[in-house]
Formats: sequence, C-alpha cells, structure tokens
Amino acid sequence: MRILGVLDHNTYSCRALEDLANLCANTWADVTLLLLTPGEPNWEKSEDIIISLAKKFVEKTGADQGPYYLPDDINFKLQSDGSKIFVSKGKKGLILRVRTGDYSKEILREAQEIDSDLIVLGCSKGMECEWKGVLGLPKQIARDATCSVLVVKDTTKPNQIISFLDQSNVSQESLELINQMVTIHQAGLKIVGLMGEKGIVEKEDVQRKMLDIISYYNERGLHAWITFIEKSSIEDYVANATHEGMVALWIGKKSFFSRIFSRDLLGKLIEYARSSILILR
Amino acid sequence: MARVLLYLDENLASSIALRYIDYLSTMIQLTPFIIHVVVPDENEQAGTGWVRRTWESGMIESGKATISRLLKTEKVKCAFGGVPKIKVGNKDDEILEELRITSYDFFAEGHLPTSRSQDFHELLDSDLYTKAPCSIMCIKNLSVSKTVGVLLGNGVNPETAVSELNKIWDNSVMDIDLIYYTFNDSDNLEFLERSRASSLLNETEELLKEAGLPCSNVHVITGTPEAAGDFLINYAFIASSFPPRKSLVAEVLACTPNSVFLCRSKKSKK
Repeated sequence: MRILGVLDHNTYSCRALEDLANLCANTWADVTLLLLTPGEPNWEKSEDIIISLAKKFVEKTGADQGPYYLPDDINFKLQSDGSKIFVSKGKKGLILRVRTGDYSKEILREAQEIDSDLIVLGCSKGMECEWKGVLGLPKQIARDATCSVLVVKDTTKPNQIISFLDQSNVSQESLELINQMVTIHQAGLKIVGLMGEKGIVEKEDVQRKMLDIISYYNERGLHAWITFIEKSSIEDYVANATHEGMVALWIGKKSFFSRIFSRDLLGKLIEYARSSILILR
Repeated sequence: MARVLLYLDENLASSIALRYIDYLSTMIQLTPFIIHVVVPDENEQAGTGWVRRTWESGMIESGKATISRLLKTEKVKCAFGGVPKIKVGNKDDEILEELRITSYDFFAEGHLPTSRSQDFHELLDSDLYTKAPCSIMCIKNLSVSKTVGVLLGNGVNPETAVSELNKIWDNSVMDIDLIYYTFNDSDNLEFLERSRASSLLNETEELLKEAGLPCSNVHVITGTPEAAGDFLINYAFIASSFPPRKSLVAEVLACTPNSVFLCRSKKSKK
C-alpha cells in the first residue's frame, strides 16, 4: 500500500499526522509526506517544516523499532518539475516532497505519480472543513482524486465507523482500510446497506459480503453491526451518521453512492460532516 | 438445556440467526430445532389426493435442499435437536402450529434491522408474534458480548422477563445489566442517578436476586429511542417482556440494531 499524507503546519495537520502515523504503523505502507507552498517558495523554511513533521511521524510510528527511518543529515534534491524531494530508505519507503503551485493540482499530480492508494489530509473542525489559505481544498481532493481519500477533521476521535455498502466488489485494500480505522480508533463498525421501495435489496453477493465483514470483526471481539436504510433517505442518513462517528463511503464505479453523491454533494458532505470521512474507491 | 425453535431460510437474516444461535450456544445451553416453511405461490396450489401429495413432497424436498445448502455454507458447530422440520403453507400458521404441538422455551428467527421502526412494529403486530405461546428471540445482528441487557420502562412486566431468562439461564456464563429507560428529546443519551428510576428497577433487581441470576450493572438512561437503541448495541441481546403496542419501550426495541428477546410466559400468553 502507498499512502500520500498532505500536510502543513496547522493544528488540523497535527491531527491528520497522528491518524496517518497510526495507520502506517499498522500497515507498514510506503509513505510520501507532501508539503505545499504557495507562490515563490521559501525552501529553507519549507524544508524545516516538513522535516519537523517527518520526525514526529517517524517517532509516532515506533522510531527505531518502526518501519521508517530518517537520517540526521537530510538533503533535498531539486527535481526538473520544480519540486524538492528527499527519499529515505528504512524498512519501508518514506519520501518527503515539497511542491509549489496550485495546491489541488499538485496533490492530485503527486497521487498519480506515486500511484497512491490513499490520500490523507486534515481540515479544520466545524462546518468549514477548510485548509488554511486554500478555499475548499479537502472537498476538491475528495471529489477529484481517483484513489481513496481520508479527510481527518480536527475533532474528537470517532467511537464508531459507519460504512455504507451497496456493492460486493469492494477491494481487499478498501476492507483493509476500514479494518485499520476500526483498529486505530478502537471503534465499533456499523455497515449500512440499502433497501428499495419493496424492502431490503436482494443482492445476494452484497449480503454475503456484509456477513463476511461482520463475522470477521466479531470473531476478533470487535462490535460490528449491519443495518438497512431506505434509498430515498440516504442523503439525510449519511449527514446524520457524521454526528455518530467516522463515515466511510464506497464510491465505486458500480456503486449507487457514486450516482447519488454527485461531486457537489460529496463536497457538501465533507463540509458539513462533524467527523472524519473516508471515501473509498 | 433450553429448547429453541429456530426458523431458517436461505437469506442473510437466517445466516445471521444461525451464526448467532451457534455463538449463543457457547454461553447458554441450547438445543436448536430447525424449522423451515416453503411458501407456495398462490397459482401453484395443487388439487387434492395424490396430486396434492406429490406436489407437497416436491415442495418438502425443495425445502430440505434449501436448509441443507444453508447449513453447508454456514458450517456452524452447535448440535441440533433432530432433523430440520420442513412445512408447506403459511409461514406464521405453520410455526404457530409447531409451537403449539411441541414444547419449546423460545422461538428464534432472523430479522434484519432497518431504519424504519415501523418494520419492527409490524413484526410485533404479526400473527406469529401476537399468538406465539412462548418467548421470541428476534435476531437482528451478530452481537458479541457476554452481558445481557434487560430493558425496563413503562409497560414492562419484570416478572415475565426474569422468569423467562431464568428458564434459559442454566449454567450460563453470562452477566445481566438492568437498563431503565425514560424518554427525553435530546439526541445525547444521559445517564441519571438510580433514584430517578421508578420502583420497577428495585423490583426487577429483587426478582433477579430471588431467581439466583446475576446483576452486574444498573443504568438509568434518558434520551430519544434512537439514542437508547444505539446504547443497547453493547449487549449480547436485549431482554424485555412483550412491550405494549406503540409504547416507548417498543420504540427503543425497534430502534436498536441488537437482537431482542421478547419474553412471554405461558400464563401471560395473549
């Protein structure tokens, strides 16, 4: 697994860094920490910020016993695309990258270049979900990325992960991410299925997947639940669910959610959510 | 050893029910007896005599195959009491008939939880639930816990709840929590002082003591039925007497995604 952590020096990024570190300590994923600077970059200051964040990251992932290593002497190399990079080789890869330019474009570009499975970024708490200096950045990334996105809200830790499922062909990586969220937060898992006008949708493969998932968690002593909601009330339900805990939405090609959650609606969901949101693709 | 009549079909609700009974049998001594009802299409009803007997035999064979497939898929470990009983006809009528002619401690079936509490109320109003001569376990999820929650509130008969739990408790390793619920329109569930509960709480605690059943914790909660329902997910199942129609306790039981043990002793049967 390859994860892209998008950071800056604001408090919401500290919270995102914590979740990212917990996730990486468990998954031993290859990680790229990306710092973005507006306009003409102050390289020295930017390098100091990302090194400081990377040190915290390495410490939180177990320092010497963990999978990541950071030498004392860190020399960034200027790339042909104008970015700066430092590649550290521990048991797992850790790349520090500083990019300049349009934040949204640069994040999506980095995610594509490294073939990222997941982008992790923080945002302010409350109804804004903002990234300082860039209007609506978390919303844009959640909407436009082709990989999964975890938007970590600077708020209390969730005690429940509410996962919406309407397709059976969810990837093993997606399930692993849900598993990690449940483990990291020691949270319960609620799996929400959809029912039509005539009741519960008879999609045997989806139901089998639901059963497999709850059995998997229950065998490990974690609380996992299924519940079904009406398709017509999905938007309200998802919005309310963000009050209960972290919402995980599978927005796959065959997913009903990809049809109902238009790009704008997904943005609004991120904006209004009271807790972190995981968009799985 | 509690005798359980377990209704199974080939669907998610039954898979959950089967796995849950298997799990529960590791903590409560249970002997599940499987029943399955093949419901024929209205157009499919055959005539009389050998034509009907041949048609019914075919339906029964099809029912046997359904249950056999389910058991093979789920691979549960608990020992069943005899071969599955396959009936043809109306589901509620056939189950009620079986409950009347054979003695069971409770009936169990899967029922998937939905956001429409009306679905659960309709279940409570069904022939099967209103006329069953014994308690019913409505299995909504695969709950893993060693504690049973007894839900108390207006309209709950504590004697029925305690006596029915006592029937199945033989050598059980489980604990019991008492949960006293009152309504409040706040979405945030509040935990109140014990003194805020009615005498029902003390009465139930005394009944548990007399029956030799454990009581680990007592919670007095107030909030919306939805908030209370969510709180109840931490238990193996929620026991309560059959609640009065459209009561607050019924609404909490409808809202919780956890399994519900609706207690009815033979003398309190409707």
